[in-house]
Amino acid sequence: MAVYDTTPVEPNDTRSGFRSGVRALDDYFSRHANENEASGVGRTYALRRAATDDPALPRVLGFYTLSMALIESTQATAVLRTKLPRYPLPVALVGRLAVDERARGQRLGERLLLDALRRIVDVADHIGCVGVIVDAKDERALGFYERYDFVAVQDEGWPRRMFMPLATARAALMEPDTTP
Amino acid sequence: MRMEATIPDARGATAVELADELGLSRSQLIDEALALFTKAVLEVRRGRRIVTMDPTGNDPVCEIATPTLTALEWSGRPTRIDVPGAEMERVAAMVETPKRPGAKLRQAAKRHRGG
Repeated sequence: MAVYDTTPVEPNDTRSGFRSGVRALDDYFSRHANENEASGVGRTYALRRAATDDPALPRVLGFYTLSMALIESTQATAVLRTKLPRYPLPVALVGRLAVDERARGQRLGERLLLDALRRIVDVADHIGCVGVIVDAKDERALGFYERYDFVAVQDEGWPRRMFMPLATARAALMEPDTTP
Repeated sequence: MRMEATIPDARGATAVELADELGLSRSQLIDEALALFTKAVLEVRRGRRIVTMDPTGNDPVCEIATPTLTALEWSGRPTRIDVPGAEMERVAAMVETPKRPGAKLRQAAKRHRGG
């Protein structure tokens, strides 16, 4: 069974005083993460402080949300030119990803993103999924996701929708470790 | 009926150890494991979660998840994203011709191998 760095959010997590500095993300985590988890609308995975971490760090270091989505276009002409079937494309949606501001500078955003990609690649062995969608909330998030091969599919507006084909994520995660 | 399966050595060794410890034949052990898995799949398809619970209530409830169960759960409730034609075309093009992962993504994948 695959091992991940994160586990599903628990009621105590959302009362732990998590603060990323982005109000919408903090509000989501403290007010809606448990509710959505319970109703199955979206899963929230939390990265918690380990016993070996600095005890001054907050209990929850970061979180991300995952759900499945179907991309479709009411303007079907574009799809007709491709080899893909003319029905919605199943994708995984990383709706939110945030790191507590007291835990910045430790590559935790990268760690959370890779954890999410690992879960998605594992799940894609069992269900249809052609790629991963993220919504970059601002320029900083856009730059973050671009570093890891996400490509913006919208030219303007926020949040900016970005995409990575599943094959790209799988190739990165399955690459053999040749480090001596 | 008779079934054959290829499983990782470590899991096989654990199963054999468990069967010996519990006084079960391997067939009995596999039969019970399959019954449990079938029940888990049926429950997740009904929108339920599989958890372990401390009867004293002292420890938090712990959810049991596997890639298959998670996949079933996710596929049950997809969000619909309606996009303009140009956006759909970009996504479709990327899926048809996926790029090889770049250096930063590959390095990140090596840094965070999980667990």
